Amino acid sequence: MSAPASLQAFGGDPAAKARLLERVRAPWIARALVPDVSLNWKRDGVPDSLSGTLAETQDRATFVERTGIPVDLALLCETLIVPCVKKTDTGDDATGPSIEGAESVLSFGLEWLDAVQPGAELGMVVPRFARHCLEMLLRPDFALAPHISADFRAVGLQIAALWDRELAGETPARDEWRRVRKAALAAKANETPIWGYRIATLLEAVAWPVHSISGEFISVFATFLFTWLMFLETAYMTEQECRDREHMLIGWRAMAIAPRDEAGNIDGDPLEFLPESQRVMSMEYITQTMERTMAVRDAARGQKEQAIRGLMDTMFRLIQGA
Amino acid sequence: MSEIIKAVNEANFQKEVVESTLPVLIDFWAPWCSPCRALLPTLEALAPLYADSLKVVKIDIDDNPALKARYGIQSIPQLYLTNAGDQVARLAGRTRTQLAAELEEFLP
Repeated sequence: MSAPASLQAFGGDPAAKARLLERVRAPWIARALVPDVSLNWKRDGVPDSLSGTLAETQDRATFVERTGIPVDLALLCETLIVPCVKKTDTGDDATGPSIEGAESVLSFGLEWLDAVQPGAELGMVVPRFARHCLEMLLRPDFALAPHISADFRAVGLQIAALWDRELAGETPARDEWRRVRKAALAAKANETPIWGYRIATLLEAVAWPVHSISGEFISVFATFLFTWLMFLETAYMTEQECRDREHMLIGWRAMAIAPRDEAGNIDGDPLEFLPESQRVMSMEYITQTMERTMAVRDAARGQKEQAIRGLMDTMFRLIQGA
Repeated sequence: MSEIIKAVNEANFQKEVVESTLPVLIDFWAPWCSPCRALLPTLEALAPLYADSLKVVKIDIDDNPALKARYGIQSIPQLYLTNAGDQVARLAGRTRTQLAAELEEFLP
């Protein structure tokens, strides 16, 4: 697969950059835009997002045409902001919802856009960010490292090696990629330790040439990030709460991989033989533990924001260096 | 980007799907469906890999109720592999790796 077609950010025109950023600067500072993993612009019942407003479109191709920025890069930047944002309904139809969150995280919404040089070619930013994430999650000191199975760790290392060869200008043979994918499918994400499930899913999904994975990376990255941030909360939980959270993840995984009928509906009850998952996913449990859940979330907030900010700083450097 | 996966509707369904010389992978979707939008980049990456042996199209079920009824679509996203308009298989994979493995069972 060849590298993405060359694009020039803002068509190389500083005036165009200023004009487009003008659309988002005031509403973003007023916290009136809601970051999202999709382009939202005048979508029924959905608040406008940062990128949707920037290009005034919900169409991916139109976004690229109007900004010269890869749409996957823009959505990935918003994906980084999403977990640290709390949406509040102002109750005013004219102003719509509002967001709140730590300034250190929310500031990234404009930081990354300000860092884009008119004329910069940003096509390799997402692939390089993906390479950074792969290196991070394969490090022995990564928080979730003990939960990544040996088979998937081996797959991750093989992907990293092939990506490095690509980034150095080589083109690995198709058979090399086929072997990695075969190993990923054989490793089976649903048999990996529960906290490592989303990492296994990410590794399986990105077992392709790095130039080609930008579009698919966002959704698997978003779920990986969600899992990582949830794991950081366990440092503030009791042993029982940690066990309950694992049962919740087991329940979610069972729902995700449950056999479905021809219409796509879940066949039977995936939680039938998982009574503990059933318990912690019940409305009764969720209601009873709500206060404690919020307390844990608050306690872990600093650590989570630090993790996110680290990723944002990496992204910022990659954009600046493009 | 959007032309990689052709939008099929009730007007061009016969020509694009039934009369296609290649098997057709149909993505049943709707603009309001978030998982459908998340799946689209995967299909956009998958389609060029099978350009010689497979056509990939998308059908908006809201705009095309007759096609939704024809295939009995009750939830989305749904991926149906078809031959001359007849369903050959429903693909359950949601990553390119899984979909490629499923397609290799059916395609030459």
